[in-house]
Amino acid sequence: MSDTRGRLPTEPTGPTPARDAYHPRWVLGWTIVCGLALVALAILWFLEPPVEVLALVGAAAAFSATIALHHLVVTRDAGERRIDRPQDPDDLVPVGSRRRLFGGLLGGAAVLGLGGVAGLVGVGARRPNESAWASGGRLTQLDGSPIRPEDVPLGGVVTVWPPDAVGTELAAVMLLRLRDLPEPPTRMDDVVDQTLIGYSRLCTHAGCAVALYRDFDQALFCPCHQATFDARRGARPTSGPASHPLPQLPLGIDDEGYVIATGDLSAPPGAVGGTT
Amino acid sequence: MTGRSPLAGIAEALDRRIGRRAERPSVWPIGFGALISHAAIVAFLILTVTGIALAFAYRPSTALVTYSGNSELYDGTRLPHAFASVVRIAEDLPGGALLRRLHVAASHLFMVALVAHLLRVMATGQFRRPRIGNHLLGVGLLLIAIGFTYTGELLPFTIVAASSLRIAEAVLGSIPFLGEPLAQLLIGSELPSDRILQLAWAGHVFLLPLAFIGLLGWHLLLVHRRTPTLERRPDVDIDRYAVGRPLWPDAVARFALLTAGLTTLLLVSTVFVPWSDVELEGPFYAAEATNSVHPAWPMFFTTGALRVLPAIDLTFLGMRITNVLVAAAMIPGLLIGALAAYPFLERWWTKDTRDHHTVDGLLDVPFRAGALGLLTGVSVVLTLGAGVDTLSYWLDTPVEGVVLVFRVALVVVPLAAAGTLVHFARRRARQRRIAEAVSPHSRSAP
Repeated sequence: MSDTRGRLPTEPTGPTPARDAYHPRWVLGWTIVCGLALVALAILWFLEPPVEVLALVGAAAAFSATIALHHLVVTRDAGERRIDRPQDPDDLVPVGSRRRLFGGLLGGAAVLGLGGVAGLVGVGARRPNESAWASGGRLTQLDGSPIRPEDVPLGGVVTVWPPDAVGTELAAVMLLRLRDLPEPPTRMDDVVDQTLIGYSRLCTHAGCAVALYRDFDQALFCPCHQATFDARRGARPTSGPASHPLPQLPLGIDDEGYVIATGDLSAPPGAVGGTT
Repeated sequence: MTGRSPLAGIAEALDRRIGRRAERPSVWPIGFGALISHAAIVAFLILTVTGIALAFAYRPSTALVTYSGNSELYDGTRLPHAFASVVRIAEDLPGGALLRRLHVAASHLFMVALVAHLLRVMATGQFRRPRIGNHLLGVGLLLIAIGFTYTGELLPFTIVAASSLRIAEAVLGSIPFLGEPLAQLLIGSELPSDRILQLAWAGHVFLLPLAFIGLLGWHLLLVHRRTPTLERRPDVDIDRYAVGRPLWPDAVARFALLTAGLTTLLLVSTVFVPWSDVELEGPFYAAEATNSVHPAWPMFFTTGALRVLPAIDLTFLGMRITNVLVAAAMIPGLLIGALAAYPFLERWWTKDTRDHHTVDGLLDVPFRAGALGLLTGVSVVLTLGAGVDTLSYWLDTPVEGVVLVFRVALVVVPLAAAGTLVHFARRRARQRRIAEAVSPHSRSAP
């Protein structure tokens, strides 16, 4: 194959075909084009043209360099060199020193790992057992206003927070108006107005926001990993990767007709951890 | 006074060790394999250059600031400082948008080239003795690259970043006993936290690049020391000799050519693909987290596992094994561990402890073909599994059905792929044995 560039070690040397001849002026010309494009790029950079102009001028510089380098690589190829394989890698790196390196790495990792574990145990627990709902209070919307049962339409969802933690992720609760009466294992005492029910908005799978409520089968759906919860039956998982129901918020109604929390969520909100 | 520049000194030292005057000069093969692996290094160079420029304008902070500038969407709004600094880079700083697009485009090239190199090395048996150590370094480089992907996604602090933080918190928390303290250490008591953003920034900008450069240097040095692998050819005894272009000037010129060519392609691609439109994703506000988010594609296999695997709830000895622990910690750990352990496994199974310097065919060793089919099958199904919601939308099918199909595929596809590959590899081995029995001299190698 005359297409093979360069010479094999066994191949005789001789004049290269004319089409492979080295043309210094070709290389010089494209190098100059590349330089000019780079200068243009540097000037344009601070004139704030559209990003596409900058990209194309930069591409022009890189493409000129490509042409020049390609000519060099094709025509100035010095051919192959041949070297002996190391017949025994122990000549290069004695097996003892490789073992020492490997052992050292493993030992170092073990020491660091054990130290890390010991240090971690010292860090201690992360989350308190109670959420911001522990002290109860009126259910508060993002704009700070409390909410009445009649504010939630049939099939509607309103996100609410405790009065002192509005907008936080951990304490977010979805207040749902179901179409049908809830059934066990829902905590029936914690439902108000027959069909108004509150669940933590954080998925028990990986802690994403269970952001979608499917009205037709009254299911809560987490768009992160498609965990589905049955809102009528205590938000128990019906499909997908979640294994635990969404924590339910005990609801009540105060003297002025606003919805309040009468206690903490039925379980800590968020992803179920690996330690029981 | 004959002042010798330090550069000349370095050049001479290199020449003595790996250049023309070395006892074993460095040779660099050309061809497809070199193209793939060198493309990864080229992408890393582009990422380094653009990354250094971007790092000057980035601010790793979740504190809310008022942004004012060219972005009509965000002018006068209060944004997390990190997000605001990224909007400023994209909209207000000269060339910032181009740098961002180039950085993201190069990151895709980087990961594609790394994975392609890994697949080629695995399929062609280049990981065998005397290059097992270098294979382990390669697995380390892959881990660092995944670290780059994850931390790089966090930095703009978009809604995607915040959701992936929430998932990372769940993954940490799913580790029995150690997870909660680990999360406390890395994230702090509650998300969103400045600490995790600053850790991601320190990792992405300082620690991971330094680690990558160090391991890459070692990787390349070992390629030189162990000599490159080559395909069998009639004119050179590949087992005894390595052939290739000398480092200087040929290999360097070819590398420069590849750099110029790929830079051209990436720059042109930024004209047609915006690559990273941070405005569209939007900043993170805790109260408004609604998300159908996909992470960067190199992380798809964990997302896919989280989506496809069923609910798991096993409790014993005070620990709970959940879907999150299995999908996002154990399966990725097993996959990466299998990659690292594979050369030892194959050596033990085939009882082949000799040195190998050749680039073999995919089907030359049945055990390897099967193992590769299994690993690739699992990875591909899990990676595609990250798209169950998109598939469900495209096919207009309930997502539960799509997930069910993927659960079946997760078992069937890897086994079928492995079985098919082993079948064809065995047939080829049988044919080779017959050919050798007929004419023993047809073998090209001992």
